[in-house]
Amino acid sequence: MAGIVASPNPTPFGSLFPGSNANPFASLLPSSFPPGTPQHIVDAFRYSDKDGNGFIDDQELKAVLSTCNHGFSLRTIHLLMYSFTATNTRLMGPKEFTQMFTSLQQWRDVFEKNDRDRNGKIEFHELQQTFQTLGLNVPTAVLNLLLLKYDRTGKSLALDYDKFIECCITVKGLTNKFKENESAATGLATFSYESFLLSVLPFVVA
Amino acid sequence: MSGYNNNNPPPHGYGYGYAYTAGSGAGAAPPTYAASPYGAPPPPTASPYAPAPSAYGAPQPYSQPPSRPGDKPHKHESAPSYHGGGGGGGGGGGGGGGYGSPFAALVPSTFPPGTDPSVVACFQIADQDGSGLIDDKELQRALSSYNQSFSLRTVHLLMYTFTGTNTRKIGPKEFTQVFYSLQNWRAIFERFDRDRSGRIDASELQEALLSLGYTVSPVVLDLLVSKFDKTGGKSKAIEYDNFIECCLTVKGLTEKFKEKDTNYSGSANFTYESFMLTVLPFLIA
Repeated sequence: MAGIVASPNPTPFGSLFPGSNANPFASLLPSSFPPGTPQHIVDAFRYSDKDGNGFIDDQELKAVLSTCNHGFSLRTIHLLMYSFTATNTRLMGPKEFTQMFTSLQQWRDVFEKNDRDRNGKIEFHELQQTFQTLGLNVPTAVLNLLLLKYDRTGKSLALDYDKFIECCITVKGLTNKFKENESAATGLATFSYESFLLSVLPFVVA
Repeated sequence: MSGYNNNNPPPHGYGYGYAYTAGSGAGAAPPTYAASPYGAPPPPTASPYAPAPSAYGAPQPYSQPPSRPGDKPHKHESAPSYHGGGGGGGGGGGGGGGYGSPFAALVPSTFPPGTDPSVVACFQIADQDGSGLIDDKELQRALSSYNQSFSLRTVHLLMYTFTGTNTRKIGPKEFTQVFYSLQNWRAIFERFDRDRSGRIDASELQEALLSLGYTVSPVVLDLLVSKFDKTGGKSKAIEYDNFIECCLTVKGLTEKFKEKDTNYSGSANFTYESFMLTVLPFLIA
């Protein structure tokens, strides 16, 4: 799809669609930079789009994010893409890229703020607070399970930036899925078998 | 009409493959599962993992009833689960109660009595550092052939299935279970790779899952294939190691869902905590 490149005058289509990730039609229309996108984000997109096809794929994104002395696993890349495109295609256009870029800046701030001892990792005791900063009220049992999942060596849990992002996206994403199905009256979420699988699989198998 | 035919998904698309009739008779008899136990190593290329004689019933990790009578495998005789083996393993591969048993870790892992010597030999070949335990890398090496690597993630999932822990090392007992499990997986894979492409596409996957007792919708099938396709969606098909992972994941999630769906209504309620605790264990790195 040549020609889907950010221009100084983004097409009017972008403004027809709210920023909601849940819009199923968003993927049918060209993604473009919202009005007022900072130039450095536009530049970053162009820089990342190595094959110049107007989209960033998972390999391109991984290459770009991994240069900033934090390696990014493909799994985290896929989770990022899923979060910001709400689809399982591993392609991002300018609009989603912009949203992701902004979020990554925020994640990075949260990471740095909570990495009190500045060792480049978030320790377990820092994690609970980090989640709260992100507006997530994570039960202790869940935190313990995360600890088990990430800490295979028996040493204390410490998440590097990549794992931190992966963990946050996963927890936040699953929490959102829960909320979408939550009944305000009971606090319980009801899933059909199919919706359960569809909600959960993208996080389990990023 | 008792409706145990897993080939007719239940009318309301419930999806567990129970195939009970809508109105009455839902309680008639326990659902029958095509025996699933987790089968064999990848197609042999002069590897030590050529299928062992099928005298051993395959392990039943989730304590499910045996295969339905009269259901014969289509192509392979190396599908031990379909033979008389029956519930809990004819030949001693069963290791009853060992799955996730809290006591399993207290007793040294040894080969169950009567273990096929070829399994013992395989263990010794795989245990390259002679430690008496097989770690994930050793197992991966043993399972990877000259033309195909076996994903570490699938190795971890298998280890998790048979130890109930995140341990990365297994002893003879668990190895035996994994071995028989892989034999069955191999049989299932070959049985459903109808076009012999070496990969399972969406329709083949649907049939494979159906044979394991799971009915999933086309939307979910597409999601599974796209997620497990190593080429990132281009070939729209799953290779052997990811096929195992896919089936184990579907199985695991479905079982968890069912625990919450006590009425067999097709929907389940979760608290936030139970939801997270249900799903997160499947995020195996």
